[in-house]
Amino acid sequence: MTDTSLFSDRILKCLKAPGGTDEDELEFIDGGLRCSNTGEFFPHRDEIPFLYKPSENDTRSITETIKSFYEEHPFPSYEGLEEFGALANKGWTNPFSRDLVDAIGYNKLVLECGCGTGQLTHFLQLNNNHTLGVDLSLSSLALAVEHKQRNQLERSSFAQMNIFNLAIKDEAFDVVISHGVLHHTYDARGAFAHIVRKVKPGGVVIVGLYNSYGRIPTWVRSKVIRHLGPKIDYVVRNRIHDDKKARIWIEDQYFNPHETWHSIGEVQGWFAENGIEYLNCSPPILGTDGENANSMFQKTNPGTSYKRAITQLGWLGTIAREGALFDVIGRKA
Amino acid sequence: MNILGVSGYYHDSAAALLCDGEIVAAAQEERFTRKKGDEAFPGEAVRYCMAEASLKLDDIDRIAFYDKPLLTFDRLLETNIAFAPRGYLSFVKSIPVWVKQKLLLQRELVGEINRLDLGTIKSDRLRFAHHHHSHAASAFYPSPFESAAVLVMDGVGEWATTSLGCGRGTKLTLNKEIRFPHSIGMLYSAFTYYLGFRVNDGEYKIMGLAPYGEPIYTDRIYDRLIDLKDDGSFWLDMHYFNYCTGLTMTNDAFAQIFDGVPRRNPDAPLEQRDMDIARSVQAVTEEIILRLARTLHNDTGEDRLVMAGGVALNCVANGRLKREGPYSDIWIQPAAGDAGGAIGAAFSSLYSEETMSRVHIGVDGMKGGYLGPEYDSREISNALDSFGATYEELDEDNLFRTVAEILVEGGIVGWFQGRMEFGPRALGNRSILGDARSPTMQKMLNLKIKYRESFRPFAPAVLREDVSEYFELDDDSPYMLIVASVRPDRRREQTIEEAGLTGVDRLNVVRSDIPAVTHVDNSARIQTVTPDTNSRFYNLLREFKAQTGNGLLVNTSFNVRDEPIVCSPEDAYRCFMSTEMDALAIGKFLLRKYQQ
Repeated sequence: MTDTSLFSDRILKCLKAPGGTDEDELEFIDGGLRCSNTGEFFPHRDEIPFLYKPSENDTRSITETIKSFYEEHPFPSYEGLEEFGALANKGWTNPFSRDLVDAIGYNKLVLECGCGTGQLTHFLQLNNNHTLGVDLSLSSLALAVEHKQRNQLERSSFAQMNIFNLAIKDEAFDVVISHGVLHHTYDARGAFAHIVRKVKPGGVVIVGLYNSYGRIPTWVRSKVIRHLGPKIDYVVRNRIHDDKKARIWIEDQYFNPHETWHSIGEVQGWFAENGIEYLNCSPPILGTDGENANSMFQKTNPGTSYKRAITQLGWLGTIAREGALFDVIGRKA
Repeated sequence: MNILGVSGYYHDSAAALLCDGEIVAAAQEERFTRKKGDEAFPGEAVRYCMAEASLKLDDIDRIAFYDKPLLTFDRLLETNIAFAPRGYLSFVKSIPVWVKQKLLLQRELVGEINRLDLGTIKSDRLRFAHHHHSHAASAFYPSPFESAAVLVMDGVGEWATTSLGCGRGTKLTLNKEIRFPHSIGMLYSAFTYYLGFRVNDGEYKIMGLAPYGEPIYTDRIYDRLIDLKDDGSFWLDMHYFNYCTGLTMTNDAFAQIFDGVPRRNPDAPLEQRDMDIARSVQAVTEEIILRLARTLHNDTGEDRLVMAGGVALNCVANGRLKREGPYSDIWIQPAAGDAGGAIGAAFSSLYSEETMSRVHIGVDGMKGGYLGPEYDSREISNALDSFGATYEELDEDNLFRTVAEILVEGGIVGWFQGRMEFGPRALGNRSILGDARSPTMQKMLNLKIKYRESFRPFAPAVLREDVSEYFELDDDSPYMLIVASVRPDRRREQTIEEAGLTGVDRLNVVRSDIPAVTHVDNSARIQTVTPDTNSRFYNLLREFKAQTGNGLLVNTSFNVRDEPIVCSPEDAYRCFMSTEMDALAIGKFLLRKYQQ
């Protein structure tokens, strides 16, 4: 595989040097990337594009702690040597990713912040979309790039970056997704403000977080799982067939060094602070038109605080068993 | 006389319109609702048929349904009494659906049709045909033959699972039958189930898998599962099957025959053993069909054979029948499954009138299978514009030349032209095309276009006049229902290492100079193309031949994984964009992926 196939031209144009300016142009040169503006050179690490810059305000070094955790446990990992066809079929079977790829449409630029081993980034390159997945963990990205190369996927791409110092030009992407990631940062609200800057005006942001209500059963299980074993987890019992993948799921869910919990109303507050119009929530807010939306990106009613509370209490009986991850979708003005 | 044929409520609903004995329109409901094998009342298909002929319900003389629901109920009832008390649960579960939907079918059908807002129809214009008579009629009446032997084989209809008979002029009689639970279709489906595939859907996969295996289990099948007589009649030992009384196809006793190994988990990798079992049941099926065909030949004295019913889609068996059977000519209804029953029911009703005389003699009444909707340039460009697609408009010669050039360069092209095909095969109007000479084409198509299992083979479409240059066949096979071998002089000698490979590893070995359409046993499922049935597809093949010297292409259906074949321009655009197809030729418009 040549350097140039690591990014499509459309994606390469969206990149800048970490901490650089929107005037930067990056180019491939001798096993790395060079900023034509400053001449600074960023050699690949283990053949993965490296545009990582540490966080400045992270006084408790949570970024480094999380980074080393995911270096050890690349998440969510693959079941054996998967073919892209198998991955695509799984994506179409999963209601969240199917609705997402349908809503995104065609020929779009998609950024996934915290892509892990890259399954969603790969899936969303369907429909002629160009996708970029960024993550802290080099070992996760290595699996993502391995899948890309073995299946000759030309429109999904990966780079190591820090969400608080994205090496990406502002307003470059049609869609920015961060699905189950910001709650592992030292400042989820601040991280959201960073990723939102990368959305074009009129573009869409999707943020998936642990829910304050729905996460309680996981917390309870985390206290007893050492004694009762991994089979108390619903996903391990019903979804995962691969031992290695099951171990990684357990580590991620129950032994993560840092996680925060959030509510729908809180995220709607972040939206207001960043000029984002609320569109929808997945799963939907009960008693609103979100329950009958035709598309994940359809504008629906944000509900009242009462309806949101009822909805989130209800999640104790539904998404709680699968980690209580909920997504809020909004459009940049 | 206008007759609307309808099939539905079991699997694969469809509607067909017959005007004075000519099939004017036919379509499967799944294509409109986008639900694979949709079994609901075929409202959209009926709506399409009526629009195609600009008719209202008041213009329809009769509506013919392809099945007699009371007889099927009678079978369910008797089966359950015979096996009682086993099967009580499955029986109780099915009763409410039966009473509500099927026994009250007459009212239900009239209600559904009148709800379509196409005028009104009264129940006195409704007719019901026997299930196997519908199949038989769909095989005989549209065939070009004045008289022929008729063979129908499927899972089960009302009672019959295999019917033998004869058609002469307008008379069609079925005089021998094998009854449920003894059924070739059910036998094949039982193995489909046991090997971890979905029944009514995975049977093709068994047929595709069989050439990877050796028929080492045929003795066990003959010894334990089936008692096959010389005349082709057979008896299944129900001790090993569960479909009469349960919700699965096979039971533990069945697994015991195959060393106690339980049903394969659908996610588990395929092993040599699975392939050997697939090959064995395929061999047994072929033997049954050959014997039945010989018996039928002796009984009727007819020199020509027509076939329908789901088992008639077993094109490997059809190929053997063509080569080894006693008939000079064979015609198979391309919509051999239940969808084709809509056509058969309509014909059956038409020729029940004593005064009618046969139309279609000497010509193929299925018109190449191109009986579905067509879209004009305005509709296509409107659809493309609504997606913001980038495309160019080309005149015919230019379109054929450009598409052929893309194919020569190794590109994969969506080919959407004219009227949609009726039946399970895409025959060059809703097709995905590629260069059969490319050694990477099969893998590429399976993994990045169809997103399906890598062992599955692809079929060639070839100029009719060139078919014998490539294959051991010199005959028409317009419906891709005949399998024949690639000619020995086109095959490539295998190296010692290659010959030593087993299982799916054999897949990537280049076996001929048309490797993309050469299965591991050097066979190919052939479609022959003539200018009178599909001039555009024929001209494209001619142009490809002008550029390369080869008049054949890979032809696979225009869909991904488990979706129905595309119907409208919108479906085509979505499918084009969600796969790695390089170009889409839709009517006179050409889209290239890199320009989107």
